[in-house]
Amino acid sequence: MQIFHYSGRTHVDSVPNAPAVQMNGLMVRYDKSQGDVLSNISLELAAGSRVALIGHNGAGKSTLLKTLVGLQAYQQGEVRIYGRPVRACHHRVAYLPQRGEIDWRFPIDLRAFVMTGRYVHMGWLRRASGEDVALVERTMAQLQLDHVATRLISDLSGGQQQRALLARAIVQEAQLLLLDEPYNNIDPETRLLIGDIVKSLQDEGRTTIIATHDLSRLHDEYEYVVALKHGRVQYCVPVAQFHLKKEEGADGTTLAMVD
Amino acid sequence: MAQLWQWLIEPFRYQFMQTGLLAAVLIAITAGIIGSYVVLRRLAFIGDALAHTALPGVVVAYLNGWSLFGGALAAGVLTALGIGWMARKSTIREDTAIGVIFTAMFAFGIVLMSSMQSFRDLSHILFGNILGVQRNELWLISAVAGVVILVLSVFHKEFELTSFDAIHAEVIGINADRLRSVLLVLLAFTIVTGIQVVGVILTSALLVTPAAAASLLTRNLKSMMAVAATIGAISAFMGLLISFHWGVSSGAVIVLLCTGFFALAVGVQRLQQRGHA
Repeated sequence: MQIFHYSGRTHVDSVPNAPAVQMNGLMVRYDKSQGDVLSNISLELAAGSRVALIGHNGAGKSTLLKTLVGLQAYQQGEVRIYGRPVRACHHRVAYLPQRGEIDWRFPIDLRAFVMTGRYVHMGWLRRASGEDVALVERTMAQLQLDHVATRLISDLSGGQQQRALLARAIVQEAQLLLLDEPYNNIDPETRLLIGDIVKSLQDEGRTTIIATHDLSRLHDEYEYVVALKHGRVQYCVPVAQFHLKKEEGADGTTLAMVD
Repeated sequence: MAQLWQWLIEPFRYQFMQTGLLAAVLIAITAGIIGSYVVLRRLAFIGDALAHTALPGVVVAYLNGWSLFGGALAAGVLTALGIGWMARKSTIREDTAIGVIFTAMFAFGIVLMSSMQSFRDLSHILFGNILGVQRNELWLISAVAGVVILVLSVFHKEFELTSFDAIHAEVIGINADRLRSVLLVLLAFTIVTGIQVVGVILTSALLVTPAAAASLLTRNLKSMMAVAATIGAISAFMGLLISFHWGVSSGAVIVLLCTGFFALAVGVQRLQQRGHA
């Protein structure tokens, strides 16, 4: 029922055989007086691929993800998501923000929080259906969150909050998942769990782009590596061609280089 | 026992007390519900600003012989929309801009007021005059309460979501800025009626204090709203009684009762925490 949708732009068909993401000469700047945050980004990422987006803090990773989901306007270039313009279809793209973007002190329990991932399908006025509830329960169990389902989100540990964000992104049933630093400040167990789950999303044909500093399982978990440097694409290569040469960067993060 | 009953019931033999009670309870319930958003979205300062900027609206309306309620409402809605607009466009920090503008508007209202012969009528604006509410105004107050509660309940899940995660709301196609503007306009409506009960200066207490108390006792937004509305309603009822029997300002007593509930809530929360520890 169209009238309930938050915008007219949901459940729009994708262009057959189109790549998940196609960017051509993308340029983003926040302010005319400042330099470009992203410049001349041209990329094509096939549907169903797992992509690591790496680079130093400030290289433009978050901005790139925000541009893809339509939170950040761009000044030049062209962006296509499954062959359609950005925000052409809200339910096709899920976005996992950095943890600090959410007010975790808000009085809502985990179950209700994860359910907000289904809102794009419900739209105005409608409540969760039995199927929505079942999907939320299943996803929480998959992420080992079922035992804290009634806990307030403020009482969750950092790793649990991160899994809660992932659960919410998953129940959105989007084709393209954009995850901004899902591995920051979490325990090693959660790190592995999230890695496995993200990997399993590919089996369902989904595309994932993960902005991360964590290069520990790069060859296991990804197919492509996109490296950004100063707002430009430094490399975009299949992970097999990518060899790590670890160096300590000036800001303490690990530099990754292609030989 | 019979004496207590007498104490509770006797004042409401008077029609002005009945009208006042209905108005005060309705307004307190509405304020408690929307006040939950004021607390959770940290809008207390904006609420205060909306109440204060109503003053020049009322004075201008008074000078021109227009409806005071209409004047306050116009000023409140304009401020609400102005704040929403400023938050998006301005490079000045929002709280600074609000601070500058609302004190200026309030000062302007005072200047206009002091240029007139009599302050008498307008002191009600500053301190509230719930017993001066007329029967026909009761309809207006009921309409405001009805609209505010209806809109908040119909769009509950969207207002809730934009309150803790505006980014996700934007991602799925909800215009969070527009919802915020709607909320501020509803807030302006509530505040303008709240001014009738406790006056310009204390209105933000009616919004913030019951909701703050409720936030200590509840675990989700809906129950927080219910508890805040209850605290507001009880405070309004008891406040009117105390004011009637002891001849003190009803608005101030209502606010102090709300504060008492807040202190009680703090105590209860402490005990609960000790119980868990």
